[in-house]
Amino acid sequence: MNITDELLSQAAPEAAERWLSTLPGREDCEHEFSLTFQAAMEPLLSRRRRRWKSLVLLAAVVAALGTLLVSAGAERRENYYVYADQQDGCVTYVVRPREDALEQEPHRLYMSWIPEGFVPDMVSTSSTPSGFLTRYVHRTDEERWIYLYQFYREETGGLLFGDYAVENLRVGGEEALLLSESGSGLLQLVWSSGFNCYSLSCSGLEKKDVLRIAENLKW
Amino acid sequence: MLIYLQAIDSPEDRTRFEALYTAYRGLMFHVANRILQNPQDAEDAVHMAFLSLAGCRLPAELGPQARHLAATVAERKAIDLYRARRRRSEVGLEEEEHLPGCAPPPSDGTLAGAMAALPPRYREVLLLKYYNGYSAGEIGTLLDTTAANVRQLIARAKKKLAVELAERGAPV
Repeated sequence: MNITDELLSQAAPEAAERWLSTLPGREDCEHEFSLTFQAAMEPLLSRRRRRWKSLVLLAAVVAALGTLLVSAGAERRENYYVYADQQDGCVTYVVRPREDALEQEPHRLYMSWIPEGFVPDMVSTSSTPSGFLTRYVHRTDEERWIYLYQFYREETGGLLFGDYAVENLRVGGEEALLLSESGSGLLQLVWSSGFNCYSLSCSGLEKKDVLRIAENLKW
Repeated sequence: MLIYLQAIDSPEDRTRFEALYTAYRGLMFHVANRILQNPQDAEDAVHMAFLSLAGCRLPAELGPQARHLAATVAERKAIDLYRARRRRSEVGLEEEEHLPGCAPPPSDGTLAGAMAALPPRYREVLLLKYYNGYSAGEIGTLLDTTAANVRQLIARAKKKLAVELAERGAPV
């Protein structure tokens, strides 16, 4: 009995359909995803928006602010590494790597300090020079978590809708933005250093803890 | 676990990713949740599925192939998470079909029926190759394994199919 590639290719659509028929239709799969999930997805979706949706929206927001702000924004965008704009409940942020930094191999950072009770969860790594994700959770409280995204040689950014406050501060001497959502307690710290851009998203932590995590990232 | 967060340079690829996210995240959650029986774990599995999909060539349009891809990757992440959460690494490939939500559709003695009724791991690699058209390397990226292991799984799946069909006297 010889099952050839051709036979398998011919049978595959029907086989897939049979398996898919055991799954419910789209209308029966409604689910309201948690803030945790949405925050975790944000950097992935944001990166794909960065060169069109976010910048289109950013342009629209800037345009709405008038000619003066357009001029100021244009000047600002020449030299920034982190940048945020806030208008009508929408925050747009962009983080850029420093192209003038010394060339170095991508390294995954580890958190040399984490708040008590957090443990690594599905810690992920990559052997490619593209990026890393590290995640910690507080298992006794499902709403507490820490995500650290590292993007190597990648600009990142995003759109945040909600009651966000934007604060300019510094991490390791570098410009950084802290985006905090008052209702949910979500905190997102973004900054760049060398060729890397970082997004540290946390829930259930205080600002001082988020900054301490960021200040204690090590090679 | 390997994660590929490399740039997706073309607007088309970004559009495909977002379309997949919008259209199938609910289905992916359902697939994961019926295995894990825990909404938070299911969301974790969906998140990990999208991390893998982010590094992968995606279908040009939504349809059965995209739906199959999304559901399959979510299923695999959920099974892997099931093993990790419950320290059930001893669950063999053949036993995966007995996990919650993994019961295969009944086989009717046809090749298509037998493929659909394979244990999840075998079905996943076979259909990702012969239905979605992915290479062993791409399947490895999606399912967090090596290309060599994918090729080995495909060979074993074919062998299992041959045995299954021979037992039923199917004229293959």
